Amino acid sequence: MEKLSYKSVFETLSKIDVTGKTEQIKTKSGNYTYLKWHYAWHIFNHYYPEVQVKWLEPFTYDNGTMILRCRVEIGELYKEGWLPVYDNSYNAIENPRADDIQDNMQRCMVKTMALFGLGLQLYHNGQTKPEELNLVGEINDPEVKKIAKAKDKKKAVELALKNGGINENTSEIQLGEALEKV
Amino acid sequence: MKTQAKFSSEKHLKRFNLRSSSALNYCFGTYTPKNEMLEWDRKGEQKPIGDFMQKYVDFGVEHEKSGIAKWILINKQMPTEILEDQHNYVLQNAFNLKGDTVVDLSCTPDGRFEDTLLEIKCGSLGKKPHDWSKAKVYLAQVSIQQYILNSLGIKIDKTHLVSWSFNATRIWEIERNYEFEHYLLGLLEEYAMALINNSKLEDKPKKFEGEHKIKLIYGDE
Repeated sequence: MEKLSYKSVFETLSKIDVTGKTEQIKTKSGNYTYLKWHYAWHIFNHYYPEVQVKWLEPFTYDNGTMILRCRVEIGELYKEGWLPVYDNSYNAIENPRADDIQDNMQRCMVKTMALFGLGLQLYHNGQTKPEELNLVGEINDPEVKKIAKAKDKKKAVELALKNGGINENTSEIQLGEALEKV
Repeated sequence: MKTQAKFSSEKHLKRFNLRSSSALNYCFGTYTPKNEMLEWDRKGEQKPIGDFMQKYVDFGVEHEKSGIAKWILINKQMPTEILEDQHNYVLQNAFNLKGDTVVDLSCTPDGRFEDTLLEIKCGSLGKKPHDWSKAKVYLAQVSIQQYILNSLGIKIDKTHLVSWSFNATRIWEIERNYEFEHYLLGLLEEYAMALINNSKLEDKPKKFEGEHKIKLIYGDE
């Protein structure tokens, strides 16, 4: 069996479409979309049944607020995450009750799972479909790569449009990068 | 960016340059009051952008290429005068002023395809495209761009105003509107005269009562 790596786990989990598995929380500052904790747990167990969640000592502050700390492990791989105990308006709760803590433990676990890639796109911009990020000029579409390398970009784009090498499904972020490359 | 050749043999002339991107301020004082704009223009400087606005400007500069690429993918055409090849168009002495001071009008469209100009906007830091209530503030810029290019002999009938975001894009087609151009040019002339004569202006002009020909040609309402 292939040994797990952070890269392979991220490549698996960050490509998962979480549409229909989220909930939206409305606050004064905007609407936020979250992956429901039980779906996150289900997906993680599907791909990595050895997953374990461990709770670290929380940080507590003089004003009675606290930060939860969580560790998600897949064999030897792990990520540690944290989250204040918030109310639904994103204000830290002073002297939180058990149910406040439980709600935020679930959020904290999902956030820590996102560090492995699952539902990370929700934290970028709330979209549920996996997002192809433009990582500083990265172009992985072979047709767009040709345009990036072409001396005459106008001709290269026109040719790619004509032969269907690029179309409405092409990433405009990558094509934009290609157009800019001299 | 290429700058259109200037005929500046009249070395003694004092020149002011009004940019289409600031048309909203020159005409309506929308973001910067007109009298403050006058002060900056008289000094030959541009008002510095605050930290809050800078991140929006930087995002727009960074993703203009994405907006252009989106337009290409939707329209299956390749525009000219994009990105590094943008052209700066200058309509010299736009108000036919006599004397030793002239006022130019200038613009730098984001691209051009046949009789259509492209103007790319990347609002909300890429979270969502503008809706028309926000996008309409660009009408003055668009209209002045159309006027400048037509005055320089480049036939432009419409502009595609592209509001790009990561998740969705809207494109409005804005037809040339002579009545609105005339209205804006009147306001710009008032501004130019105040610039030269060191006089002051009222911020609120008479409202434009005419109609625009605009349609959403891509994206949801």
